Amino acid sequence: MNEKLVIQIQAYLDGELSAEARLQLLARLEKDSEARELCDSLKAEQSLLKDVGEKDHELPVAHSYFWKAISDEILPHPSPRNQTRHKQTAGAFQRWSAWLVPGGVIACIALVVFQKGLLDDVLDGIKSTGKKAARRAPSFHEIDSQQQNAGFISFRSESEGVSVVWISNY
Amino acid sequence: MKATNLSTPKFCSALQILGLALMVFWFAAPVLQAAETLKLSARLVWGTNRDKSADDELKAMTPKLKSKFVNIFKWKEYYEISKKTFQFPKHEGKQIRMSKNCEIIMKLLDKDTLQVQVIGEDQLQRTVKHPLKPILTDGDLFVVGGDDKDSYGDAWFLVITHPNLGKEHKKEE
Repeated sequence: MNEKLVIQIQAYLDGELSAEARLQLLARLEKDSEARELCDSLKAEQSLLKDVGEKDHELPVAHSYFWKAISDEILPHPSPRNQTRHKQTAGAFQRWSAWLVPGGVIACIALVVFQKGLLDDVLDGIKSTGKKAARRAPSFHEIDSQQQNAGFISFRSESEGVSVVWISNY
Repeated sequence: MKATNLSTPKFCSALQILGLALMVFWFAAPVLQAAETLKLSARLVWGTNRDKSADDELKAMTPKLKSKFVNIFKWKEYYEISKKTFQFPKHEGKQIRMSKNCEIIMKLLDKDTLQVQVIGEDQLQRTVKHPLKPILTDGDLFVVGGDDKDSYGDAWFLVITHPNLGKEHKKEE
């Protein structure tokens, strides 16, 4: 028996042959007793294997899964109403938190800036346009004296960066 | 068995920490601010057109400061009688003796107002106020001066500066 015929018989038993090839093979099997004998033996073998099958095998249950199953049984199952309320509360909290965290950070920065007087420096820097402009001239010289005949002259040299209070009769 | 509510957001604890930090800072800030100190330098300077005598142990003014004074005042020579660098808490005043007859009391009236009280012969003579910021940030000089009543034609100067001004001058020289 040639190999091609054996393959064709195997394909026939597996249901893989086309209708035309199947008819041709059946005609051949009627004439060829050796081929028919092979086909019958393969059929018998196939039916035997089908009956045997495989046994089910149970996997061991994980420890954590075992206790989770118990806790799921113990804990009350939330009703749909409670679940909706819980979702609403969590959603509102998350929305507030989204504002609170950056708000808190901004409040901290603002507090540091105000406490250290940095805001004034920043504003001064914005107002000034150059080094000379940043050198703000002293706006006042307040002078008190207990002497009635005291005379004062107050002046400033911008070029030297010197402010002078001159007391005429000390 | 302890049941943990896993639906609580984790950043709840972050908020608590932030709030706690804010509270700590809020209470600590005034204490820290009160502990801040102010450091300044004061020089008592004598201005004259005369050369100093050999027995005078007077120190000549640094060239950089002298050049500023020469450009403003009429005297040719300037000598440092004394120089004091001092540090004091911003909320407190400080009394400094500059010479046998001259004392000054420095005080910060507010964030940017320096008050200098000049005491001569144990009596308050003058109280002058000046912005602090130009002295500290721009390296400006605040000078209180007057005629020397004991030496005709001469003058005295009280020069308030940033404490590092002298060091910078030394480097430049």
